[in-house]
Formats: sequence, structure tokens, C-alpha cells
Amino acid sequence: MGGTLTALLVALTQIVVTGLPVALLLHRRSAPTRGGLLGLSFLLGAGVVSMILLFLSMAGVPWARVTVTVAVLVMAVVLWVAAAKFAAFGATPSGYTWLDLPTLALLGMHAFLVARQSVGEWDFWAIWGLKGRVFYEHGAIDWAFLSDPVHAYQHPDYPPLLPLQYVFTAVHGGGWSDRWLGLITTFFAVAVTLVVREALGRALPRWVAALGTLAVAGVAATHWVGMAEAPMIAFGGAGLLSVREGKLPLGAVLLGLAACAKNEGLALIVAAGLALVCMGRVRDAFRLWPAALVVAPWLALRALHRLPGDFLMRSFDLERVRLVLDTIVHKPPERPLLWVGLAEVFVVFAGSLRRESFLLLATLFQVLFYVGAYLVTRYDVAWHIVYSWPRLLDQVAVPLVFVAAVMAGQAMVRNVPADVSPAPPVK
Amino acid sequence: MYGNRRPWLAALVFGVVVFGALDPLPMGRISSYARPDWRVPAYPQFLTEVAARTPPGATVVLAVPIGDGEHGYDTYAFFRATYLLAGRRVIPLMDPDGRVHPERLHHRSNFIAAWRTPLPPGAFEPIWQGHGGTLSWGAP
Repeated sequence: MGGTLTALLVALTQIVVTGLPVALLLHRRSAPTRGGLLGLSFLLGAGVVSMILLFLSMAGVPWARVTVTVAVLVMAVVLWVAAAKFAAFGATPSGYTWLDLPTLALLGMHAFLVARQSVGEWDFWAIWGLKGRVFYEHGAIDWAFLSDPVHAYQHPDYPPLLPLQYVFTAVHGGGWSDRWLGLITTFFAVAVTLVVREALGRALPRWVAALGTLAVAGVAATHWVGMAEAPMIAFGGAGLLSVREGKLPLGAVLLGLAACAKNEGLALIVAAGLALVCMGRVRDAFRLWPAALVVAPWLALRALHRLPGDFLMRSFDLERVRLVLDTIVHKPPERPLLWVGLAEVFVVFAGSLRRESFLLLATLFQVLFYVGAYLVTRYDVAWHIVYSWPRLLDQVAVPLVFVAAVMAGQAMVRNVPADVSPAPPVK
Repeated sequence: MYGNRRPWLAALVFGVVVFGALDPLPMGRISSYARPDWRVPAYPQFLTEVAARTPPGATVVLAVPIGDGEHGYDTYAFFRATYLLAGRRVIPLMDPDGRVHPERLHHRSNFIAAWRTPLPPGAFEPIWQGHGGTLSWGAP
């Protein structure tokens, strides 16, 4: 049991060490904080590791401790050499305050609750953990398993980033064990919380930034343990915030990784692009191309193996629209007070919403995509909404809480720090 | 930037957001949500024993009585077996619609994992019994 925790920590270390040079390269035009850099290192490292495993599988190299470690080591050396040549090393202090302690306690509580038992979510057993275990036992992506209609319940078209994190841990542990894998959910929550803390720290005084971060951590520390909600929240939230701050290559890569974690990430790339277009930033929308590049290998493999998806071509049906909207209205969110609070903020600051139009428009488009997906789902609509709507709301909550914190926080205090407001359009 | 609003009003709505995000109910579900193993603890134990007694690459025909519905054959019983028997090919004796495929019992390479289910007539050689189930060779 202790061995599998050791394997998880070894995997975590390799992920962060591999992701750090990527974070330095993509973050090189701004001054990252140590905390933000650590969060990005985990997110980007998780992406690099999943790509390595995917390409080893495509190349026919079986996943084993030696092959995977050597591949990760070689990639890390290449990335560190590139970072030494092109990136500016160094990070500013994170500027934490004692008011960040509740956030630390909340994330610690999440880790404690998760670590008390093996992962036991239905969707971990039926989808995310199942794929990880099957792939690990197979030593590669098991296309025959994914294509087998007997196993259609595992959603063969769902992207593999999270199962590959489980594989990476199992490879280091020398065997499959789901005892500690739930902590990967906590790691993603910690990572996005660090990224948000950095962004709020630039826009708000430290104590307000700490409180806003606490709210974000409450959402990011999801109870959907072992499922792809946590990486989707983390990659999507960090990606949108990066685009908001004008860090387009970093934001695009993170959005691409969101699409490697959940299919909703594909919609989020389009939503972000549409938001930029609506703001008149058409060139910036096209500068999100790295997102497509990141997810392209998986999409190509998915098409090559003809993995079926969850959606059907349907003609427009007004009755179905009514059913979808009616079911959504009658399915309350999991944190009703949070959504009441967000609505209040947006009403109170209705006249200032344009300043955060990117995050708000991207979120709006994403929610519209969710509703559109329900219109073409192959499943029973009511069932699909009841079991997925709360999770989908969690996915878009981080950018909304961020906007609420910035708007309300800046109104609460007089001495707002030097502005790091949304990036201006590229001329 | 947003300072044209009254600070107390901003603090109030911000406080609602923070308290709303810290709703303890969702995180409290981590310990209790979706643990179907608790309903039938012998089933995963049986499958774990089957995994220990079947080689990687084997085909295991699964016969279980758990019926249809939300926690039924086509969901929990089958995907739990697929998870715990990963590395082997798990095929159900019956389809989700209840149609039985007896021909799947009679392949020489097959194992039959029958849990709380009597096997159809035939000389199936038992390999192991326990936790309410029997592991047998498929070929009579």
C-alpha cells in the first residue's frame, strides 16, 4: 500500500519536473509567481506525460518502467535545454498571506477525505479508471477494447489524458492499484488554485485575492473523485484565465489539454475562439491554434479507429428543446448559494460586465454548447441532464468565481494594485 | 475599476459567493457517494479471486443474476467485472435485454465466472468456489 503512494509521489515529481520547463517557456513574457509556476508545471507536465505515453503506444513501444522513464527523461532533458536557451528563469514571491491558510486547509481536507479509501466512483470504475487499468494491463492503448461494442458503456471516444495519468502511476508502482489514485483529483485542484491565486494576486490586494482563491478552491476541489471533472476544471479554468491575461500560447496549450481530458474541452476551445471574435479580436482567436495542435493526435486516432461518440444527427425538434430547458430548470445546481451569489454580483456590476467580456462570453458559449449537446444526445435526455448538469456547471464555475472576485474585490477596496486587467486587442 | 459601487454591497455579494462555494455538502459526498460495492460486498471479492485464478488474455464468461435497471447487469455487474478482471476478455452470458447466449459457455478457452447463478446443465468442471460464486472451465 505504501509502495503505491510512493509510486504516485514519484510520478508527481516527474510530472512537475517535466512540466516546469514548458511552463517557463510558455510563461516567459510575464513574471510568474512561484506558486503559479508550480501549478502550471503540474498541469503542463501531466499533458507532456500523457503525450509521451500516447506516442509510445503509437510507436509500438510497450509501457514499462524502463521505457517510460527513459522517454520521460529524454523529453525532460530536451525541454530543459530549450528552456535554458529561450526562457527566463526566475519567479516572483507568491505573496501569500495568513488568509490563504483556509484554502490550504480546504485542499488538505480534500486530500484527507480522498485518501481514506480507494477510488469508488461509478464513472471511475466504468470509464476513467477502467480505461487506465485496461491500457496498463495491455501495455498500450487497447484499441480492440475501445472498439468492442460490448464495452460501449466506457465511452470509447472520451479522451485519454486522465487514464494515462493512472497508467503513469501504475507503471512506476509496478502494478495496478486504485488505493491512492484519487489524490490525482486533489493535485489538479491544487494546481488550478495556485494558478488562480497568481491571477487574483495581480488584480487584487492580497487579502481579497486570498478570499477569492478560497472560493475557487471550494469549486476546484471537486467531489467527483477519479473522474475527468478535476482536470477539465483545472485545464479549462487555467486556460481561460491565461487567455484573459493575454498569454495566448499558454492559454491555447491549456485549452488543448482540456480537450485531451474531456470532450467538453473541444467545445471550450471553440467557445474561447468565439468569445475573442465577438470582442473583435479575430487575430487572437486564430492564435489559439496550438490548442488544436495539442488535441489533434487524439482526434486523428479516434477517427482512424472509428470510435463512436455520444451524439446523433437529429433534426430540430422544438419539443425536445422545451424538454431540455425544462429539465435543466428543475435540476438545481449543487451549490445553490454560490450561483445566487454569482447572479447577485453580475446584477450589481451589470454596468461593468464588458470589462470581463472574454471570460463571460466564453462561459456563455460553453453553456450553450452543453445545452446543444443535450439536444443531440443518444441517451435519454432527462437522465443525461440529471446525471451530468451539476458536473458541467462545476466546469464553468472557476472563471465565473474569478470574475466575481475581481469585480466585487476591486469595489471593496480603494488601493487596487497595478492593473493586470484583461489583455487589450492585438492591433 | 469597479469602485463606483458601494464597498459594503460588494462585500456582501462577495461574501455570498465565498460562502456558497464552501458549501460542505458536495465535499461530504466524497466518503459516501456511489459505492455500490457496499450493497454486494461478496461480488467484488469473488471477482478478485477470479482474477487471481485466470491468466491475462483469458476469456471469462460472466453469469450473474443482478437484474436490469440502474444497478443492473448491464451497468454495475458487468463493468465492475471488466474493471477487476482487466487484462482478460470479459463477455456476458446474457445481453442487457436478457437474451442468454449458451454457446458462449462451450468454448474450450473460456472460463465461466458464475456468481449466485446456477449454470445451465452440462459438465462444467469447477476450478474454485467461494464468495457465493463458482469459477469453472468453459468446455464440458
